[in-house]
Amino acid sequence: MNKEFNRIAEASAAVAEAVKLVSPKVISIYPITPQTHIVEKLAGLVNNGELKAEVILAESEHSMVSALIGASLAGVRCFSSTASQGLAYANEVLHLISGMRLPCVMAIGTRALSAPINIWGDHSDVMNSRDTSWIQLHCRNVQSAFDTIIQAYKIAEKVSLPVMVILDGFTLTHTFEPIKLLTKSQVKGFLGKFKPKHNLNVNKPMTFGPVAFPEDFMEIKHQQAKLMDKASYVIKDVNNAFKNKFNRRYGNGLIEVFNPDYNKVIIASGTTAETARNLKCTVIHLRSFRPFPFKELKQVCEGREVVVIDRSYSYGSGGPMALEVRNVIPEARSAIMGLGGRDVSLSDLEKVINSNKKDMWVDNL
Amino acid sequence: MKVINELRGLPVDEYFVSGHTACSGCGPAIAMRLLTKAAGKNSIIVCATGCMEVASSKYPTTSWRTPWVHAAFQNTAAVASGIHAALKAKGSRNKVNLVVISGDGSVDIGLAAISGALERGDKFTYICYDNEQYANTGMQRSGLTPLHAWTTTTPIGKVIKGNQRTKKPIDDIIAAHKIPYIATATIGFPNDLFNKIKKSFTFNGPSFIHVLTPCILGWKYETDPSITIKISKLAVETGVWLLYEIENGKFNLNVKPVMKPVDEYFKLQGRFKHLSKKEIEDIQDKVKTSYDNLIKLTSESK
Amino acid sequence: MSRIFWELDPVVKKAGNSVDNNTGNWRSGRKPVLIQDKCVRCGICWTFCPDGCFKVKPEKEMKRYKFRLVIDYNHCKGCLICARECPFNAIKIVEEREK
Repeated sequence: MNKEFNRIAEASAAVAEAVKLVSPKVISIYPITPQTHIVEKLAGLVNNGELKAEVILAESEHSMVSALIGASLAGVRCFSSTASQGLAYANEVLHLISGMRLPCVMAIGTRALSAPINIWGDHSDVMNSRDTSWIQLHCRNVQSAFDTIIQAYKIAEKVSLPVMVILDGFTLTHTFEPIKLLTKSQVKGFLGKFKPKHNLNVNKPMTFGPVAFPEDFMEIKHQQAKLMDKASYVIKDVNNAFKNKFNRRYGNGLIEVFNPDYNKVIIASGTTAETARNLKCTVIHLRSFRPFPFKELKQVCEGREVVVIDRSYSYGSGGPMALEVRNVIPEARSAIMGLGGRDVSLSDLEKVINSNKKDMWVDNL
Repeated sequence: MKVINELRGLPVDEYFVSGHTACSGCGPAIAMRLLTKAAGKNSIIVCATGCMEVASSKYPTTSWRTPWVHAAFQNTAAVASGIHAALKAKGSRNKVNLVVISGDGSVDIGLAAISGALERGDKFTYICYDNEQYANTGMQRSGLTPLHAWTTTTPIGKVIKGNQRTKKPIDDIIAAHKIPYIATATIGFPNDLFNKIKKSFTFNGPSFIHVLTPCILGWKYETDPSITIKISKLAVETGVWLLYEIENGKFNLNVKPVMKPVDEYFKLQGRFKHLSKKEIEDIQDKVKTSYDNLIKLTSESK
Repeated sequence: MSRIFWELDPVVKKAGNSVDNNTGNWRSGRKPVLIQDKCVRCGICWTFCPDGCFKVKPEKEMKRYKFRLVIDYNHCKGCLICARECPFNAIKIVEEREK
């Protein structure tokens, strides 16, 4: 093993390790494939005394995510992790957390949404939650999974919006790669002490979650939209700060560009982008799906042939990423691949690059 | 300058203040005033969506003078679990009382969350104000609506008259979780309600207090809202609502009902005006059976 | 109520500010009036008011008592629970004309 790496770790274990270094006081747990390894690892760390946190063994994902509301309002950092059906079940609560501007962080091990039931990775669950006003950051390898968890807390607390750290189910969550770890004091120095904006204080009693009638609701939500726009800048700033401290950067924070000199461009999120790096084409890893980096994509893709790889589908319209990319690159082609854990192989990707179909599903139909 | 600290055994300070938009004569509003006096200044309240939440927290105003959270309809117990865990982690859990307020609606949709929180043994007091229907959405039937009652989804029609199911035995369900303290209460006996809530804070685990609160519109006595307390007292005096507590598995009857005929309770409420003589007799029998059962459980606990 | 549009966190920071909301104009024709001479300060009316309209004030005239109860008509919705529950007939129901 190369001397500069500390460990060979499964992405789930790397996430758990990152959470251990951040040291949130409350961890809310419910198992669901493929993120179960994360919560099992965390429970092990707590029971071994390596992580001092209160563990809530929830009875459902809806309650699990709801507990984050209570913990965050009581003024502590918290963490949870879920996937697919659990994320969909908790969807209502995701809107509450972002609406209440709580800086929660969740890891998602993506998995296809039923029906038919399928436990393997695709992006349908996180795309289903794209309107919940959570910042969505994708990870393409184990190192980025570790780093993004740490960055997520800084981003969430600066913007006052919650962050989803997205790992492809099985292709990333269960993959072992060498990584460089950080120490607790390094992470502590990077994040600083948690300073919640408001909290449940009997000496300064406040009412959280009031009813907003039509005369107030729009302005409150408009302000939330502005916070999401601000998030673009914060993600970039935190990316730079991380580079300055730890010498690792992820593009400009919103997108990463690999093999920059080709005419053909693949835009993809997650492990698909990491695989595509082996091809003779430019690869843009779309790290931040929410907020969507319209400006950056337009700039990089000007005058080039673009194909967007989606691992989900918005039935009745098109691939969610392609739909957004086409706002700034109308001629972008769209390929639907890897649904329900279908392998995204290099030969499939080559087929996609060499095709000229505007919209295609890469399957046997 | 405070003139007196207490009146009728209740603290004078108000933590649920006027200006809320609950109905004139609202039963649950009386319960809110009493329970916030019991919880006091050092309390955190988690409130479910419902009449008491909507009427008291219209942005940018609030009727609450303690830290107060409203999340969603069914997850109050889960949010309370989160607060409990966070305060425990900070080392300040014993400095505050954690109170969860929900209507009977949240006990239907939120039963899973309640069950989970009770099973985890988190320390909080869950107060369910029971007006026997989903009041906030306009008086629809809930799992806690009694047999024969009118609601908008169990109307008195030509073929089917009123609710065809009996009241969900929520106290039995909660008792089966073997938590330290369960009690029933009602606003007509304010000191009993106050004392039970105060007592619940002394246990090192969850407590559940089930409060019967008459509702003017839902129970159909809107022509005379002044009888809210009278109806609440009659519920106890007729034995329809038994005031008891279960402390670490031991039953204790708090108020012995004088067993007035149940008809005195029903005839004041428009939602029961269609009851036939036979139906009233059946209910009278059931009430007697329930009471005898409770006496048996109470004596077994001695 | 003035709205400060640059600070729209959905949080109400002023505890108990609903007292600024005048719900007294909900009354439709009848209001309770407390007869101080008959009142023995038992506090039953104060206990049962859903709106907390009975305020405890220092007593100046009747040396027998330390305090008197005063009805806050800015918030009284006219439910008349107090009039019904008073065991001493110290609260009478008075017709009000439309303001």
